[in-house]
Amino acid sequence: MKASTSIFYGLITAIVILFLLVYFFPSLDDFNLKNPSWNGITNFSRISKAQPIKKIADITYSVPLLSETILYLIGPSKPFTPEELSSLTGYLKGGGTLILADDFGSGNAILQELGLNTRFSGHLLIDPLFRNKASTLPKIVNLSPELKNITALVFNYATTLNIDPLEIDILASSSSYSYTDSNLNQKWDKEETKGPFPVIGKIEYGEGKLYLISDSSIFINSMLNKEDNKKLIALLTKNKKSFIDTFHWQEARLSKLKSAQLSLYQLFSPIEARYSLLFLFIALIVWLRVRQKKARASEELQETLAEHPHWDKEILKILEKGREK
Amino acid sequence: MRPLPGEEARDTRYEQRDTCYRGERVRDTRYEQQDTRYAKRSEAYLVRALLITIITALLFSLPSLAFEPKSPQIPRHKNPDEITEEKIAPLEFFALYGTFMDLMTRQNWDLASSLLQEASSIYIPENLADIFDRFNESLPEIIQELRNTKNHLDIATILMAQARIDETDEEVKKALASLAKTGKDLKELDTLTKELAGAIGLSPELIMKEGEKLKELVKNFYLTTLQLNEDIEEKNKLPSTFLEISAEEEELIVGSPLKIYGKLTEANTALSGKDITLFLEEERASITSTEEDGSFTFIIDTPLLYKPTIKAYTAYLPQGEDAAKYAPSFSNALSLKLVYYLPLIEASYEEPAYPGLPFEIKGHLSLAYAPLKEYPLEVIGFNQRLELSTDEKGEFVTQLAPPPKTTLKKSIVKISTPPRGIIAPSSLTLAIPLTYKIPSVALDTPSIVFSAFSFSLQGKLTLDGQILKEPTIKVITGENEYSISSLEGENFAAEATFPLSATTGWQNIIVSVTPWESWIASVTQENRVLVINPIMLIPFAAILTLLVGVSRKKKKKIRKAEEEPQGVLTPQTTKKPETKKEKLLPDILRAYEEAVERVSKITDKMITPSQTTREYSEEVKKPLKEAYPSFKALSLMVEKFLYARGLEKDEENKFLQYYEEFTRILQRFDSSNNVKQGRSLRGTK
Repeated sequence: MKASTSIFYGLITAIVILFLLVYFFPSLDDFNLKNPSWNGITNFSRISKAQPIKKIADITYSVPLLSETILYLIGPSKPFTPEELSSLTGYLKGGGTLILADDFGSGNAILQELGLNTRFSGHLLIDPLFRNKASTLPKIVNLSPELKNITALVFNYATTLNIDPLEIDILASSSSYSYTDSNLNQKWDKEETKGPFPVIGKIEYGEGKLYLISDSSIFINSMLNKEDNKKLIALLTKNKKSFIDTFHWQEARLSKLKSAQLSLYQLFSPIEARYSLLFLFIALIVWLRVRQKKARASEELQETLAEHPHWDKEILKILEKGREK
Repeated sequence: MRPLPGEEARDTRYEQRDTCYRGERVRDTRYEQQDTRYAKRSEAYLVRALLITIITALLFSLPSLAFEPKSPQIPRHKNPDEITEEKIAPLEFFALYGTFMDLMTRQNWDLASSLLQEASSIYIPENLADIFDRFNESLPEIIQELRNTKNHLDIATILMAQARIDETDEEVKKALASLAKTGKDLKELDTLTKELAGAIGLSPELIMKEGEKLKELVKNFYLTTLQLNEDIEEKNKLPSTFLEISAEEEELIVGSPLKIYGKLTEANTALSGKDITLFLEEERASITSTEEDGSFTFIIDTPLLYKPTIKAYTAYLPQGEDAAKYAPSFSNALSLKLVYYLPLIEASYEEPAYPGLPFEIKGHLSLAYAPLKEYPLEVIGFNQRLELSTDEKGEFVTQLAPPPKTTLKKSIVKISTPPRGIIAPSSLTLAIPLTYKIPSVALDTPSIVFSAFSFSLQGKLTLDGQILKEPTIKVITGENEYSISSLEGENFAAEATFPLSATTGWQNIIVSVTPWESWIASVTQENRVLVINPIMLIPFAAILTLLVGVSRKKKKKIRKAEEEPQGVLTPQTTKKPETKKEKLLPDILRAYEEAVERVSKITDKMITPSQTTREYSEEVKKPLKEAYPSFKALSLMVEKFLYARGLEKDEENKFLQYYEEFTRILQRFDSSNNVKQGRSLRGTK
């Protein structure tokens, strides 16, 4: 084996190792459905049985009655295209239920497209008294009877809703001790607004319903067991077929590679692609074997000729062919 | 024995040669060892190169995998386990405590309780949990005791106004007991408050100041009890009065006149001109004055109350100057039986009801088995209120329509009749189940379809023999969606296509029917079909073509080989023009074959397939004797002919010379053999 061949095999091995590492090492991205760590949503995915979708139109292809579906948009950070926004509008008008859990992401673009006046304020919600370990983990205890069996929810770096009272029903509000921390010093300053602030609201839109939750982190693994956060999923999902948008999250390189791996797998999952691949593989093996055989024969021939330079190369080739027979 | 001349020199040469061979062998072994060392060193080098490449590639690529997207100014979230626990905010806590105390002082117990309930949700660090729990547990008790005190005092005040002294006294005692418990609880709260204030960094004086407001309230309550006690003592000093009543009839028809007689006395002396109040069912019904002999009479209409019995009693509550002269008194209570008629409502409806579809409720109203004619009724249900009346037969009929968009499975309908004199009100409640009519969809689709190729499907939509009016029918095939706009009776048809992106396998054709009629449920029917993607056929076709090609090529080769003349040493012929060597080939080989055949006859030794010409010639050396040199020469030349560059012209000539010489010697050989054979034959004879 030559040094160049050795390097070639080394690179191939490194690629295989990388491929395996990418496959087996879990993603650590925010809201990733496969991320079992604190910031993933594996538990949410298990409880809600939400089917991941890349585009809203996917729902209409799999379910004929939109009123029996619920779509979760959790912490979208990528912008929405006009087509996506139009699909979301159609989804709501057609009777679908949309849960938009956002804080500092791109959720306001949807509200604008829907022609609503309610917005995510984008200011950090702080509650020094009704909270978990820290004031950035506010505890929501003012809940409407519609959220039955829920006594408290815990948010994580949440924001508030700037509402239009004519279009929204408030389902939950922060305590009167809460405030919005505009300068992020985690102290109340005179110019900062004091609570209570609406944090969960319901808007009847067309035939559908739009639930706004001013925190994207309520469903992450580390928050799901806090107070009644888990119950909220069951309450919202009910018996509906649930979907989750996976296209509007920022991905780390590892996740991108994982997605590419998945796409590659999906590319070869159809039966026709699998057969083509098998065919190519067999052809490659046959070709390699023939090539190897030829190379070995040529090597043997060269060695014989080197030993007996006066022997006829053509005759040796003929003899070799005869031997193969 | 002395060696022959020349033998000694030859032996010496042999020894020298052996020595040389030995030396060569040693050198060969050294070379082999060296080669092995080189090979090992080379292998190690390559393995090292392989490992270095792997490690370098991984070192360069792995850090890039750890790349994280840029985080926004405000984080979306932080790991709660890694967040540092914050201390309790003292000012906010003080504000909450202040609000609570304020609500308590304003005797708003319900709000204070709900605030306390809410306060249990505030975050308390582990080290303060115990003290905070005790603090929180003591507050509801205080709320409850203060609420009780207030209730007892309120009741006592009312009773005192009604001059029910004994009952007032009981309530005042209860209020005092509650106050005593509250006082004890407040003392404990003081201790806890000081402890908690110290723990959260608040000034104890500040928080105690809030507690003082509550103590003020307790003090006020205590003063009220003292006042009530004084009033009770005063009333107890007055002379007591006696009041007794009776009714003319104890069984009364509602609305008929009711007569109640009575007398008021004070130590057997009749009291005249005093106001007596009649209470019916705890309601003040009438007031009258006593006669000279202290007697009094109430004549009123029996109230239109539709209950089996009513309670009646009278009271003398001294007013003005009398308040300081006489103690108030209450008469005995009379239990009066009431007589009235209760109508019977019977109703029926066609079960079940459907959303948006009106249905009929029929019924009958009777009173003591006789129909109640033209009697008003009220029907309430499905957000509707209908007023109707019975006909001559006491029957009624009406229609109700459940709302079209309802999620309810059952709805309550109430039919009621109003009271009318002796006739009591009556009502009937019906729990009406709601359901939808479910149409059935039968689909006729092909079993196998090809992606991107359209196919037709037929369906039949039935609903208890009823034809649906313009339902919305959607056909979903993968990512394609079709709407069917028209129905031919119960049948519908559509042309659909699975997109080319639909892969081979079982897929569903989904047909969803949404009727416009609100009482008919939407239904979905799925049919499984085998979708074949034409692209899939490409690899199969390729494999098939390849296999056919290879098989044809093989067959062609075999046929060609069969057509060619076969020979032991005949090399493979080509279409190229034959070279000189190739022309010579059969002659030389044939000659050699003949020679070998003759040698094998003489020597009885056949050439084996594994033997070379050289080896064979060595093997037949001895039996061939003088023919050996020429046979050996022939063997070597054939060897050269076969495995080297062929024979030169002079070599060909030499081959012929050797062959002739070999033949000549063999002829001699044969003749001498024949002579020997003849002799022996003769000898045998």
